[in-house]
Amino acid sequence: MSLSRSPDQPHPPTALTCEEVEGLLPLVADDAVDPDGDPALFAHLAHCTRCQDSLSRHDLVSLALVRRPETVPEKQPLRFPVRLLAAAGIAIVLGAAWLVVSRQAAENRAEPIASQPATKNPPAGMPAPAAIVAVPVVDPPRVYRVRGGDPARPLYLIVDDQGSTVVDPHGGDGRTAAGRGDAVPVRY
Amino acid sequence: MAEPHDPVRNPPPPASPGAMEAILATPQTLPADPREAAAELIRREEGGLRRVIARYVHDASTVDDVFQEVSLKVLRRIDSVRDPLAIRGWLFQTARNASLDWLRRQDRRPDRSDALPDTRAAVGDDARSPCEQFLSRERITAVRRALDELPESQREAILLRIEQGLDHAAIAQRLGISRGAVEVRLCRGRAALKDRLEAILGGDL
Repeated sequence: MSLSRSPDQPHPPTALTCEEVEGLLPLVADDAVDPDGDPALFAHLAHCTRCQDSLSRHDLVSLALVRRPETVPEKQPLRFPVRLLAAAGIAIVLGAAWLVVSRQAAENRAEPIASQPATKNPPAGMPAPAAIVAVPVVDPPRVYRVRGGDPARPLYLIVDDQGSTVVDPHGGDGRTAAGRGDAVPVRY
Repeated sequence: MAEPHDPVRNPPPPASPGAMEAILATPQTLPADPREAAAELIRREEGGLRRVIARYVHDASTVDDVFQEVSLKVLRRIDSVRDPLAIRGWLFQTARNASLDWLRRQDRRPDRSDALPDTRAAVGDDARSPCEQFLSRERITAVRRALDELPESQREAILLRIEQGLDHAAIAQRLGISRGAVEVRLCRGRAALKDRLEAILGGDL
């Protein structure tokens, strides 16, 4: 007979029952008993596949409790990227400084001279401020050649902010053009 | 070339019950030389020993390795068995201890394949080591869950015993209770753990 016994085979006469052995298996798993101390118990275990199976589960519990649970992730200490944070801080400070400086420069440029009190007398020894004259922005005049007419004496239409004037380069008086439909732009 | 021997699927035929009982109960029928007697025992009990080992390590080649360890231990320590009636139980315990030792050694190895979970998952459970087959993550998690459900007194005693390796007397001193009370807590706690583990995993055990 081998060590393992099929369930339908009888136990040896002096053996314990499976129910009795089941209650003792925690002691076996705990190494609290040994074959010399309880030969009947281990004789049963040597025979009984059912109790061997139960004991292997007790052993599984022991091994699993010794093993660190790898399914639980270890808590990682918080690591701040010091260099990155320092660079970001420097960038923020520089950016803020640039904003302040550029804003002050813009305010200085935009400060209207005319807003200064003109009636306020200048300090003694300083010249009076000059009067501010608005200079309109003048678009460059555009020149059109008037269609039709004598090809030998073409007329030109000059358009500027003062109005439209037909000019005869070969002499004659200038005339006000009725419209631009009769003129084509001159490329120059 | 012959196929490798699978101790689980093709166990050696058991000896006749009556003859083996008689042999083990009457050691004078074994060879007088202890080494020859041990070798005879190993030869006769090989199938049973392999089945015990196979409960813990499911890989056939690993069963071979552990069985060799068991054979060496039996040859070296057969003289320590004083009661002839205890020989079979001693053989069983030797095989169980060798299997557990092998699992503990493998579990402590730094080059466990745990470092490659993706690879292992890609090829399925067959890629798990024999240690991981017995001590899988699912089982470890289930045991931890079962432990959390234990009464505090039992959990405390079990953790002191298993995790810290204290003996019963040291646990009794630590907890301020009697040694008998410690053993009761350990017994009940272990039994409850096993029952809850079976309830959690069901057919996966």
